Amino acid sequence: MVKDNSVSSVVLDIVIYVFLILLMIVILYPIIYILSVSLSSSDAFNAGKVVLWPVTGSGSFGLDFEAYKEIITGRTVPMSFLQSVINTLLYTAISLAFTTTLAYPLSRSKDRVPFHGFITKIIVFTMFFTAGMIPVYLIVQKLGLLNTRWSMILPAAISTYNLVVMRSFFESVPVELEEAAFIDGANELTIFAKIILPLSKAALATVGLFYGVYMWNQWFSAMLYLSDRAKDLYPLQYIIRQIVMENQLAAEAAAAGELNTVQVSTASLKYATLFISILPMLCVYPFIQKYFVKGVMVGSVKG
Amino acid sequence: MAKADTTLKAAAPSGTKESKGIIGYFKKECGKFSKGKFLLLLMIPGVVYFAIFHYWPFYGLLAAFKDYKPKMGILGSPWADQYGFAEFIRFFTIPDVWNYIWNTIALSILHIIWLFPFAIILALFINELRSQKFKKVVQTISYLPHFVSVAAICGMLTLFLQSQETVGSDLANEGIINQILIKLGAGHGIDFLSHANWFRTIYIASDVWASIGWSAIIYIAALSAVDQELYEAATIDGASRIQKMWHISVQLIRPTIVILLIMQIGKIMSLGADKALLLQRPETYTKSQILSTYIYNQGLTQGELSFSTAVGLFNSIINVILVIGANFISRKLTDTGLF
Repeated sequence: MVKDNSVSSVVLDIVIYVFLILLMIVILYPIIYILSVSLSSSDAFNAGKVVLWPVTGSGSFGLDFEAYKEIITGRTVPMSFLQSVINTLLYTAISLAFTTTLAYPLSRSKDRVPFHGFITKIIVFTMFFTAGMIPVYLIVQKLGLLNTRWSMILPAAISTYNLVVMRSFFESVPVELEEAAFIDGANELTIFAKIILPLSKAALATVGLFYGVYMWNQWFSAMLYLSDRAKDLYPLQYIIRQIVMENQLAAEAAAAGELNTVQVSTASLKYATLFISILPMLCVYPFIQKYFVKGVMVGSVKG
Repeated sequence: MAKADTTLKAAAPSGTKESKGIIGYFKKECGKFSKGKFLLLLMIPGVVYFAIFHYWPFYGLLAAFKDYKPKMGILGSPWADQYGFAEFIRFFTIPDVWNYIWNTIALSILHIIWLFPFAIILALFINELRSQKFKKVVQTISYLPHFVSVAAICGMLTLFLQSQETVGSDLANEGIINQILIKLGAGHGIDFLSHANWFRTIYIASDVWASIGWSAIIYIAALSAVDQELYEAATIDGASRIQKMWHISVQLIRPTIVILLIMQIGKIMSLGADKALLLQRPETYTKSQILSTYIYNQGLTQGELSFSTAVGLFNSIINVILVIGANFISRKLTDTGLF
């Protein structure tokens, strides 16, 4: 590219860099601030001294892990963290199994698969017309899934968008491979398990991560389907709502006489819980984002 | 193969009219069993899932036309008055309903108005960067909020924006935004989330924060596929960088913009309940109550199952019309549609 040193080009560069740097600050600041408050002493926070970095009681930089100690030795957050992990793993496994087994036949020629056209039509129809929140709730109730883990997992087992992404991936596997296996006497199931799946590792990773991140960040299904009776099943994202917005943790700790108000303020507990809930994603997303970008591209082309 | 395809398509619609067609269709499909029985077997779990969680609920829609009592079941409950449409009629006679519909549309439109230009500008700017390293850093950071849950985002908003709204209140009870306001000399903070007039601003600003980077992906990809010779030719013709951005970059992503825009307009009434539920307070219902939160609040908090099923059905019907309309327009304008 020809280098352009005109005034307008330099001005444009300045505008671009200022915009992008401001954007990065705006995106990162809330996350950094949460971390800093959670690591600050309550005195410093109460005095309004925490702005960017963690501050100790003396007003200088320093780390205070009291809030995290309080949370880890407590019951609510570790329990819900565990529930979120279990939900995410189970959901990813189940959804991936359901999605691949449905997407693969649909990616093959219509002439080979019975009712291919009909099944495609009934699936596409659900993208446009849904019965809505209440009828699905009634079904979950009827199946006896209310207040169980399955109420969060099964109703969302297949996302049509992910199904489409998966199908597009499978479509790119050349048919010749299967034909060769056919001639060698393999049946469709063997071909799927031994040839197609091993060739689709990238696709499985992409769609699996879509599902995993979705479930980790999900809170609404817990609110819909779980009542107080199933408290132990609450996932972490639902606990945030209770702790941050309804002061649950502080009330609980106060009731148990656990909360040492001198050392741990309710504010740092809230900020620490919030940070714990986003920490796993912060750690993994730089490594998984490329799969996501790929999935977005496939989905948008084939939509 | 093409011939088999056309006969299959011809058989399907006529099948609904004459039984011979249906039988013919079934025979045709069953004829594939020898080749595809294992593939059909593979599809069973997925098809059962769709049957249970997408098609069985359609039966539950009957509750909208009934005076549904959980104990009597859907079929056992008596039909609602006014030929079954009592709940629909009641819905439209509630004065606040038009307000809730408008709130839904307003949030969707504001989302489009703010997010589209920001995402496009971000993509254009990233495309102008020469340093690959900086490009990578900007992209990675801008994707971050996509991985932060709605619950966490709303938790942050709640904490950052809270205030006691009293002069000289303890800074511990003020969110960071209000701490700054007070330090800048404001007498007392503002509890933003309990003021209806702030609701849309907060909702949309956090939407932009959460989605700007992710929404830009598709434009960045489209821009990276542009032939560099176009830019070089324009440079030789004496075009400035801004001219090149406008006449080459923007023009090349225009079809993408148009399609995404139309698709977004098709979703204007299907705004989900989760974020609004987390941010709303009874004080802000005049702005924060949207159709989906209304359905949730009426159906599951108040227990008005028939009524909220009816509202949901109304909403679904509007959504279908909007999506099909959007697709029709997209096909007319750009020859590409979602389906």
